[in-house]
Amino acid sequence: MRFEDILTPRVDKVQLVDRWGAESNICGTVHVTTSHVIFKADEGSREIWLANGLIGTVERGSLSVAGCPLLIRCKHFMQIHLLINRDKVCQELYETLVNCSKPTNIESVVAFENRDQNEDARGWKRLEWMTEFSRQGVSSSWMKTDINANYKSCDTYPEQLWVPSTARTPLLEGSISFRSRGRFPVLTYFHRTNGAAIARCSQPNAGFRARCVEDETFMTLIGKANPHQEIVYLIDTRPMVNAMVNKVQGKGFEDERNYANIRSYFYDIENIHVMRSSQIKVVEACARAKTMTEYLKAIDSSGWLKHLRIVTECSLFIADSIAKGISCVIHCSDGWDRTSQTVSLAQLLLDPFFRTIHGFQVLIEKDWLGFGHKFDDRCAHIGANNEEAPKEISPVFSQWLDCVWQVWRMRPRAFQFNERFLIELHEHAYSCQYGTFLGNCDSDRKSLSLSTRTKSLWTHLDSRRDDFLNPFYEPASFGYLLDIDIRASSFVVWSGLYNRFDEGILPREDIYNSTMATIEHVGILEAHVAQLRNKLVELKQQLGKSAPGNASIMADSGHGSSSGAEGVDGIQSPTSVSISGFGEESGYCEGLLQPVALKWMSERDATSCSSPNCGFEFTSRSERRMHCYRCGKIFCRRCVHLTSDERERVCNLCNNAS
Amino acid sequence: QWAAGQQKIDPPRRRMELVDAIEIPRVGNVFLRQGPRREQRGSLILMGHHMIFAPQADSSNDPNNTANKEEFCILHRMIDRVVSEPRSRDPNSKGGILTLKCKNFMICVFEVLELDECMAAARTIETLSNLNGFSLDYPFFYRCPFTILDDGWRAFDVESEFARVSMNAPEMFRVSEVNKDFKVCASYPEKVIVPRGIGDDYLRISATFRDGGRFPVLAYFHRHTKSPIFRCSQPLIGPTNRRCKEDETILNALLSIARGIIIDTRSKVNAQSAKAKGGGAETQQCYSQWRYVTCGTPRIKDLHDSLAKMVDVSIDKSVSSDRWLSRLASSSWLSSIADYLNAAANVAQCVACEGTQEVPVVVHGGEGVDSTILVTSLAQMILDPDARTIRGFQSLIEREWICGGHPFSLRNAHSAFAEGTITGPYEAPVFLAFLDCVWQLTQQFQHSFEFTEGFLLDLFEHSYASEFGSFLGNNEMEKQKHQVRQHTVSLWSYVNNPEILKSYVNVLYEPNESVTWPSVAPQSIQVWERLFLRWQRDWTEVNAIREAAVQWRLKERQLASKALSLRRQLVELMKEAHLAKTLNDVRVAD
Repeated sequence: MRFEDILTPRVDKVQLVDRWGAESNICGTVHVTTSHVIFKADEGSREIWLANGLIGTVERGSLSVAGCPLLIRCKHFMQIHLLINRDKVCQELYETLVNCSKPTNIESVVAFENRDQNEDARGWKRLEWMTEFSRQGVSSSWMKTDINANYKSCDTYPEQLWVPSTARTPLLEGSISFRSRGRFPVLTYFHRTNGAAIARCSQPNAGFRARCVEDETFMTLIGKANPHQEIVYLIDTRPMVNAMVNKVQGKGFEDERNYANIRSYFYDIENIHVMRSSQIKVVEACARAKTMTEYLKAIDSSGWLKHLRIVTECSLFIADSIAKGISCVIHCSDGWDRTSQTVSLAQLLLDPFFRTIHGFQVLIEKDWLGFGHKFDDRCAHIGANNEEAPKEISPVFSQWLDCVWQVWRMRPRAFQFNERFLIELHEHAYSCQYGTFLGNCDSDRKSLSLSTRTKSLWTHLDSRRDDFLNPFYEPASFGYLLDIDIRASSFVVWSGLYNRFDEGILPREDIYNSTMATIEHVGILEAHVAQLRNKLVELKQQLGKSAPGNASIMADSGHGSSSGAEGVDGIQSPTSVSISGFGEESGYCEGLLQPVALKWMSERDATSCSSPNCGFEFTSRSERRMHCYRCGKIFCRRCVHLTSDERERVCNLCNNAS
Repeated sequence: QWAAGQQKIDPPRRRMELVDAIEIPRVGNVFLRQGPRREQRGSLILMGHHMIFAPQADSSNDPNNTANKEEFCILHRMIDRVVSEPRSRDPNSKGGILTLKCKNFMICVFEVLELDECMAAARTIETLSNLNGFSLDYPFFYRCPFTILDDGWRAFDVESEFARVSMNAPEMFRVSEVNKDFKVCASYPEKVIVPRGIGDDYLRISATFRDGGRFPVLAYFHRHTKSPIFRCSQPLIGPTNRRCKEDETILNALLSIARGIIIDTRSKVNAQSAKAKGGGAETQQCYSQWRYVTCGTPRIKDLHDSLAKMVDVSIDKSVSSDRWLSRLASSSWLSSIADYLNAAANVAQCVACEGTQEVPVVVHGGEGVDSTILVTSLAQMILDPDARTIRGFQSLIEREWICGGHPFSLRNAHSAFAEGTITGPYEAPVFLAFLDCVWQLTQQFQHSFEFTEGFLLDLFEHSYASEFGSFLGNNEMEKQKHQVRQHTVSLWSYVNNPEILKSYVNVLYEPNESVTWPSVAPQSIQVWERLFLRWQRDWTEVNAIREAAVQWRLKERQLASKALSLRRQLVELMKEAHLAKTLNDVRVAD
């Protein structure tokens, strides 16, 4: 955004109000910059950083004795309640924030100022179409076509497309002209095991009577591209009624009688408008409901879980058909919302590659960014310039992330990533700090030259890969995820996302985070034990104790492991394994070895950074807590550093001590 | 799972009455269509205390056949409802279907070839699962297969609890034997802890003023704030506004510097309407130094209905999205859990909030044996780090629930399925609601409780049907009358057996002294899936995650203690090296 839009870069004496009324107000200063809105407490270490892109709506109340209230609702579900003592100041801040939240032009979002010249451009090459399709093992019955070179046939598709190799250009052109916005059926997933494929498209311009011989032939060719089964399942993700309504507008769905080889299925996934109001209700329930009955009723009436279930059910049907060897063609209306959701979720269920951190990014690049999900419009990256714009907003992508989370929750060991990864993706789909989710389609991104003017989110995520690892991932154990339970009782509210900033509501102790820390600690301890062993051997040799000494170390190692397991075998409570606390026994290593903490601080009470100079309060449960390898205490990201040999992560205190 | 299965031979002491009820001792060729395992053919054997399903010997030698060849066994007491019906409407078909709905929400469906046999089996099971009284119950016939190292009946007595309290509060309380032979209060144990300055005569008079004679007794003492929690039943104020000076004196004896707080676990309306029936609540005039607060929790009848609805919706396989949430909401089970947690958190806050000192809290509802006990014991789970250990939790249940006089025999006679004449007005899953609340705490604090989810589930099952005597009877008086302590094995003797205890230890437990303040917001309360969806869902994934976390934790501990011992060796060696060097230096100097 432009600097001149900021009417008030700084407002003092602002009170931050605790939404739940549990804590007293915090007095501080609000700074507005071109990239962030920052609240900083005058006393104490409370800080809130809010990327401008995340500002959803700003509401101002009327002036009262306490001050003038200002409520910022954010797109990542943070709600900031402020009280400002002067009405005029409040109005100015209000206008500034509104300006911040609605840049007039996509090129004025933060991402364009965030570019680092030396940045590694690998993030922009996450998806190479050719590489991905050869990874999938696409057979010779499919081929690449240049029909969309320079986006001339379909401006919302990528330039490279894969179609049955028997399809000639006139046939493709015929199909393109018969499909809404030229989004004709193209390959997105090839199932190597049996040659079945997923193709996606938009609705046909069928109306009540129109036919297109090319489109019909093309569908037959898609069937023939499958070596084992010519029948193709045509899945219209819309409720039948909606599809009928579209017929009146000259669009609609394929008539089974005209297509020799299709079987049609309809799924009741509602449109973007229904999903928008549904999410508003679910967010409201998570933020406001005070009693159990009120909460459950509100969740129920939002219909959100029902929607998640139907999207998952449809995706499961696609995945199941593919696994059985039947190719599927999927469309909704334009083929960029519901189609993207179901097609990509089906691939997640089928292909373990898409359940890795890298593969998941490829999946998003391919089926969301590549095939033209309108992120600009759906996420409201820029302010409305026409009346239609507010109707274009819809949480289609975050709904899909929610579906992924539901599946993740059912089969956590099948995923390389953790919940934090999904939450981070959700935030940055909106934040506009990176170029990845800007633009409505591939051609938009190309004309904005995003890859040279902005940073890629993937590069940022790569640099924090450790944050997103799932400690329970078992890559080899899961193939298809077709046995997931999709009964209504399996779908629950994702409070980790919707109540992300309500510290008090989320579980205080989390097995994913603690186990990840344990694994990290185990690695360090293993290295430390090895070092100690070497040092012992060395010392013993110096002292002239040779072989027998060595043997005693070995014998001891056997004993050590048995005594370690005592806590369980011997049925004493886990406390009985005594491990020294911080700093004890440190005399062992003076001048010999780097200190290593045997005990790591538990996450439970770590609400803020242990550094006395920092004291940064963690703003959410999902924020990564980092342990210093030497003292074992928990710090925020800013207060720990990797040592020059990149082997250790240490806090400033320990670093200075050495 | 069915611990009873380990010991199937009924001792010769078996009474004739049980045998008489068995109309058919064996039903051959039945087909298990639904139950604790996959479909299977076999036969049913009906015995005095349990029913055994014996799988048919497999004639085919298929090596891929992984069918479970073990028998399984269900205590008759575990069966909540028996349904037998013809297999089809066709009068020529002879087969019948026997459905057993268990108190742990498991449903077993057997297809029986002959309808007559099916009906006979159903009648037998129905009779044996609904015997009046508990003197013929399995615990009296159970022969303990293990040596009892730590007798659960002796592990937790009032004296040792008093010793624990007195350490931090000398001169504040005493053990009273006013209830010797249960003369003052039928539902209290013979020894109770009361304020030191109060004589037994006062207690006797107060008992006449409290519902069921439940005068105020100590439930918990907070060692840092010195605030005690007392519990009792409602005062019998009645429509004539009775008062009792002695009762007031007892409460006032608890006060020192601050005003006390009386927390009523009934809603305001219920507390007021109780007055017309002879009960009521402490008035401001008579208890002027006390603040009276209501923290409404469900009435036991409502709680019972709520469980029935909750189980009904959770076992419904076909339940569609549209109905699941609305039925979940209308069951009110989660609301009840939230209410209890809220009440307990309030009690805990009064006792342990920052800056408060010596604020006595008195908790009561109506009779003081249901929500009162639930709230006081849950408050202890929040406040007391000891209660979060396995042994402390046992002690809490023994003290508050078993000795405290929660009427287990009445409340747990049936659970979610039974209806009609076999049920009475007294059934209510109060103890289960407590376990659910504790489960909610363990979910919010996965590293703060020494026991596992499995322990809570086993306690739930044992509280309904068990080979152990702990949950028999409604109070200590009944236990004594039937000599439960002499003739049965305590559940704690079993649990504390090292081999068994091992399976209940939560390896992820990290002891800590702080208060586990729960979130009672509706967004934080979850469905206890392992309880309600236990028989509907596959748990491989959950178990695997838990196991992996446990293995990593063990490895971490093992390495840390290894590192520690190596460090010690290193220090020793360095001392030696230093000494050697010094000696050498001395020698060189010489």
